[in-house]
Amino acid sequence: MENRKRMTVVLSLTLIFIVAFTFQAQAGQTYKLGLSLAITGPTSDAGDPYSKGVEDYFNYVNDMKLLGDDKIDCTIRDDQYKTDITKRNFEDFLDQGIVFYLNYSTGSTLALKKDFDEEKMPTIPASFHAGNLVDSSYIFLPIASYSAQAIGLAEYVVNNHKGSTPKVAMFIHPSAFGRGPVSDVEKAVAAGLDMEIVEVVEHGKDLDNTAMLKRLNSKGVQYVISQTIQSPVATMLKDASRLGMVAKTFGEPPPTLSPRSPVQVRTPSWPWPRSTGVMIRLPTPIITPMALWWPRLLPKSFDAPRPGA
Amino acid sequence: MTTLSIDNVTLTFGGLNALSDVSMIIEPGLITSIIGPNGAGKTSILNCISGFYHPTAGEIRYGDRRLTHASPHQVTKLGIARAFQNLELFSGLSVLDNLMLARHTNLKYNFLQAMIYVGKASRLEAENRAYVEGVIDFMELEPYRNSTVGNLAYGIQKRVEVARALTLDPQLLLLDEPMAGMNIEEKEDVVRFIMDIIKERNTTIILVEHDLGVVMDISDYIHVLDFGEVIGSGTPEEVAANEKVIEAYIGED
Amino acid sequence: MSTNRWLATGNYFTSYQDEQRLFFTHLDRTILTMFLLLLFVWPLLFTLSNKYMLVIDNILIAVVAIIGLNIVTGFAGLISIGHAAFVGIGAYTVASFSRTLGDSHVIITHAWPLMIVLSGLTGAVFGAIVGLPAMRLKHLYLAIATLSFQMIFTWTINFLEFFNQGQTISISRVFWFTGKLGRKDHYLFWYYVLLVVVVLSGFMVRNLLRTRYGRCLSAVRDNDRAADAMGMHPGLTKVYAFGLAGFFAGVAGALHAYVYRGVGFESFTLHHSITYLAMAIVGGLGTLNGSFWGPAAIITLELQVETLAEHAGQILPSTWNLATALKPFSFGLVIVLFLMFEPRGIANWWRIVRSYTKLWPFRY
Ligand SMILES: Nc1ncnc2c1ncn2[C@@H]1O[C@H](COP(=O)(O)OP(=O)(O)OP(=O)(O)O)[C@@H](O)[C@H]1O
Ligand SMILES: [Mg+2]
Repeated sequence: MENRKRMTVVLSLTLIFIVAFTFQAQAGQTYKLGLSLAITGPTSDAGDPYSKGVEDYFNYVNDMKLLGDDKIDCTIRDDQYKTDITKRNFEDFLDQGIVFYLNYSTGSTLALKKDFDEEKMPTIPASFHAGNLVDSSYIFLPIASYSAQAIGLAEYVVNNHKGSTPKVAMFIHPSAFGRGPVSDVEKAVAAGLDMEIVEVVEHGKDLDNTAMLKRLNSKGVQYVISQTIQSPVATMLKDASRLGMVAKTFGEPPPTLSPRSPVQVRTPSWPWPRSTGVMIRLPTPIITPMALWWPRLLPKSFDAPRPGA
Repeated sequence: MTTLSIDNVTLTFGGLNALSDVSMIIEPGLITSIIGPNGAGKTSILNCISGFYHPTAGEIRYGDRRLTHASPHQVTKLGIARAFQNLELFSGLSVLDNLMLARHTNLKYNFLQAMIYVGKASRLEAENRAYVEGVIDFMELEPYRNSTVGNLAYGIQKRVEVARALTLDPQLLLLDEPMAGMNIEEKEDVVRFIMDIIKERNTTIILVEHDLGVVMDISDYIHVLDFGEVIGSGTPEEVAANEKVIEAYIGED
Repeated sequence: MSTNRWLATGNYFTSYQDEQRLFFTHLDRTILTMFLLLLFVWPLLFTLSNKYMLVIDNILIAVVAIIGLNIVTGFAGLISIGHAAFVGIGAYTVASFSRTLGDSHVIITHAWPLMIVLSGLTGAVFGAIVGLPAMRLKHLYLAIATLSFQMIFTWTINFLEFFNQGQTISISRVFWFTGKLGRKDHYLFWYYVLLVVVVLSGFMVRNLLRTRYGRCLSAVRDNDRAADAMGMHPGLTKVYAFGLAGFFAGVAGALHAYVYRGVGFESFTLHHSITYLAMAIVGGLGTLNGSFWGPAAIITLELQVETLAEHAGQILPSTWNLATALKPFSFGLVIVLFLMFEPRGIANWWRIVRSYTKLWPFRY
């Protein structure tokens, strides 16, 4: 089953490349792409720069003639992090005849999964939720899933922790995007990962996490694995450092941590501003921007678990 | 014809007796007036009859039905209607709708029939509309049929209040100061309506009124209340001669 | 009968059944008939893109919901801050079937009209239950009770595994006599279904309003003491109002589930409840035609503001996040302006326009 699915993915990818190259033969093609994301509304602190990054990148592609005479024309639409609006945008893109679709939120990716399949519309979401791949053959994750990232972090904690079973809390976004990896980490723990998940905190819009951090501390939590957007993490880091849990980052190059911009991740050509995996170690916390870190630290044998598979 | 009997009714509001040990018999087919100074408990007794208040002690019976713990809509269904002292109209609705609402319990079609609105619903609506028109005619409200009640003059609203009570087609009609705040002509109108009601419909009437002239003229029987107690009862002549009553009224005025 | 059957020149009724007519002149009836005909025919004449079909479907779904909200808040005067939750109840009725039987079970794909009615009934039951506090509570206190239902609803959906923790539960495409609907006809098909539902609901409510089942609503709104004295149970009447509102909400919810082919909690949040209230207010509380104006106006406005916010979001520095504020701001502004200058809503403009078709002496 597992292999069949992967085969499908690989095959369809190949197909796309073939198709892409076939079209490239006729010079001067314009490929229509669509991107629907949260320029306003929840998570727009990530979505807005993301949209600018995508815009810049495709300008770069066109200007530098990376596709020869061919051009990419990517329409960007705001969906306010709402599934209903995303659906409307997607219908609009289909009417415009896009050949490739870029989506954003976990909720809408899951909701539109069937549409992507029906339309045979290759889609790259900004959400790396592992569930995106279940029962779907047109969604592609360019990097490891949230679950893989979170489990990778968990394994890192277990491998580097000295002493008895490490106590970990998870700090997550109150949405499908945040909740997705939790059950997978729990499965990994059940499967023998020597770690204890003490608490799963769904953060609200709190501007102060002192109480939460103190509570976690009193429960003996030693690490916090985060699965959320920047601003809540920034809030938590600010409070952590005020409480003397000096936050450190790791990854390469280690971004310096200032109170203003605690975690900023941008790769030059492809902007993934959503650094979702963040870890704090208590009482000397370590913070990790996951997106930078996973390819190097993920154990070779590690296989991204797929819920339901 | 049914007799209303009020037996030893006491009504207490936080230690204060609005009514204490009030007893009276309301004979059918007559105009019975309840008079008394402000705060004597006249409205309270009507409230007890119509189910808005429940007596702390005592009993109210209408024929063989006990009203002591009944709620207003149950009382209404027994054929007891009430015109309120302070206007309690559906002020956003037209006069017509106000009166049609009084036919609520007579419109015996079900929800589905109402939704489709042919056959029974339409027929019953038309029948009751005709009934309402009769009352409009009777109360001379024709010019205001479709006006919003809240925009009408006070005197006319009072008349709508009485008309609505009449539309309920009651056997017993409770009128709480139907003439308050009216000029002499309007009062004459209302008196005429009341006399007509008795004559044409043979309705029992309980009238609460401050205008002693009117009360003495039209009542068959009078109960006088003071501080929640009945201080005198009888025909107008008997009451006019009652010393306690004279004392209360002179002491008051 | 008047000599001129097209314009109202006076009152010429000769029987009370005559007076019950919905249309007072031939003009009224002809205009409505033509309008309805147009609504059914235009998709045959030219095709609208799916995006706008979806927008129109969305408006019609909201119309069904607002007819319900108008019953409880407009006519019965009971503020409901949980209307989206009732819509959600309808949607999750369909979703529950999808979860237990699979998203393409025949009950969902073939017996969809049944599902829609069933969702309406579920909505009605929940409406009545949530309306129970109306037996004792009034005004703000009652509004808080409906608000807490909204909260309980969102919480329950979000935390129950059965409801997929609020993530989208998919609903398959339905079958029609021509077979399974494809993507091309999907929104058009539901447009027709919605149109039929809206027309039926419109006539049904229009009829109810001129019977005891409609009048009792306005009675408890204007004066529930007097309503009591008219022989109706005011408490039960309010519960009935909530039930009826719940029914329409439930129907709207099921339609939402089918049109979007999925049910997720985020379409039924407090935000949506407030939006529904705004639609009812802007359309005109306590009027039936306001239930059509409100959703059309608000959803069109939303579309405009969205485009604006999108552009603003790309120009303004993202750290300020002003663009996010643009929508609630303009939204609030519209409501405030309506409350200040036209509290009777767009329905009042419609009333004024209509009065031009009457000649002196006026009907009344
Ligand atoms: N709901 C209530 N709560 C507390 N006290 C009340 C209430 N209703 C009436 N009372 C008191 O009961 C007494 C009798 O009031 P009631 O209204 O019966 O007087 P009334 O004879 O109708 O006077 P009026 O001529 O002014 O209408 C008054 O002292 C009044 O303050
Ligand atoms: Mg009084």
